Amino acid sequence: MIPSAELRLNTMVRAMTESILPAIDPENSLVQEQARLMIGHLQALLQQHGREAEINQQEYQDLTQLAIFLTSVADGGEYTKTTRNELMQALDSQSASLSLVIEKLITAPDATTEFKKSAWQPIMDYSEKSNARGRDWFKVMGF
Amino acid sequence: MGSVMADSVILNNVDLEPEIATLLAGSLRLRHKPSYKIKTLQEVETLLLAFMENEALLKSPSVKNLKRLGGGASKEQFVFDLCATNFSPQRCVLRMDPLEGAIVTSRKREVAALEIMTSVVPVPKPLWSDFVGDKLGQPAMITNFVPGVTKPTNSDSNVSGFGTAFDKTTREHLSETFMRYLVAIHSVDWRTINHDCFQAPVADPQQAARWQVNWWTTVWHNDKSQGLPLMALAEQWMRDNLPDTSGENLVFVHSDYRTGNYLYDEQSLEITSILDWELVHIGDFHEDLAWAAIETWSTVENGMLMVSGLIPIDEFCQLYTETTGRKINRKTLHFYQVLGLYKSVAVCLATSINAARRSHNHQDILLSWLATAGYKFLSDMRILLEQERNK
Repeated sequence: MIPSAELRLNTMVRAMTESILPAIDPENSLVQEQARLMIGHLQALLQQHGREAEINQQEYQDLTQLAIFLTSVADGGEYTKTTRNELMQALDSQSASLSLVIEKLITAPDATTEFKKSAWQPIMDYSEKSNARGRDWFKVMGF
Repeated sequence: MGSVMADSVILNNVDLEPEIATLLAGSLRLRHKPSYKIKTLQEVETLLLAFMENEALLKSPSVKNLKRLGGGASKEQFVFDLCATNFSPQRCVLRMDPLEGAIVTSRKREVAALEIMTSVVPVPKPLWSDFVGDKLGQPAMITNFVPGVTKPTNSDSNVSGFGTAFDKTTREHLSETFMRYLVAIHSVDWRTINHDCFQAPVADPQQAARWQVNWWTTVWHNDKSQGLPLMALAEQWMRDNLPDTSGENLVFVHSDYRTGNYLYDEQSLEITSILDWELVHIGDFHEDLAWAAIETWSTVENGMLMVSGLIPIDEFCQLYTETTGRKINRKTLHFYQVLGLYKSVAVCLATSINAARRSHNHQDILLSWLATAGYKFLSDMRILLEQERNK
């Protein structure tokens, strides 16, 4: 597509940096701050451009693996059993609610100690990968 | 004992401090409101003048040099010069709730905290307030203006308090006062204060921790748009490891005590004001120590964590114990560090995103920027939980 999204984003950054920001009253700190944040967001979008679908797909794959593991070890009372079934349905239907149901299962109040123990490390391993992905994705924001 | 010792209430079977339960329930009602319309300076001036005349009973009031202040992800802030025939001219700050922000808090509690602390540590002096928002358009308070900076003027940190590095002289000056004021806040005897907006967690030894866990898990569950397995793991771990707090260890917890939330004078290096009292509550003193030591607003020098960029963590704990006589329990400190990070993730990756998505804030762009810090907090929380597991 001509002009590309990359070119359009670049031109926005230049307009903001070279024309709009210098024209803002230096005393107006709120607007100055918002303009700088806008430039930052645009620069982040430039760096991330074209990779969002790939990142989301990786995230969903890892989440799916975790969900499959959790359904295989989930054990506890009625709440745990019901939520485990809910998670299996979410997996079958590739539901967008997958992450929400995973949380619900992990915090099930009647889960057995064995389930909690066996779930701990896989959740930590998944989170290490996912957090690293999130931090790398937003590295340009300075956090 | 006054109303401070009021019984806890259960909201949807959740044991929460009653004022917080009311606040969280009220916040749910704001969600369906249309986009927040940012007021022009002219509109704010008109509201202020009417307020000063009709509520503050000032004669012929005038508002000059009205300006918005930058920063403040959760509140709209304005500075102005106020004059009237029956009032000495004064520079003032209007601190107003947008429809929604990074956190849900109460101006009534914030004003109460300022009133309690005004003789204890330097704080902005509350002058007038509108808790309901029917006079100033939104719940708001007006205080005197306190000069000072939150970070060195040549600092390149992008958000106040995040990774602020001080030179040695500044650090030495500020760290002494930083510690002294924290001790002073914790020395206030909440039992002698008759204020109906704070309740004490005294039903059982774990209630202090449980109230905080329930507060922030409620925020996370109400505001999240997607799940994070690590948040669930942290919640489960916190519920399984609630620490006991004895009565003498219950203090007024500032709850956001860190670099970035105090003003200091760059010449004298004196702290001129402790800010952001909106999260204050009665709780375990470890909570403030753990929060001040969160890595995001601390620095690391020669492998040593400098609490809030000011003081080595071991020295910080040792000094606190020497000054207060309170013994620091490392396990309890660890618990409150996990809670602090959990809270930060909830603020960044749930509440801030929600407020921005609904266009309910005056700085949606700042909220969507701050949200990305959530992954840093998540990473730190994972490391803390791993340390616990490996013990």
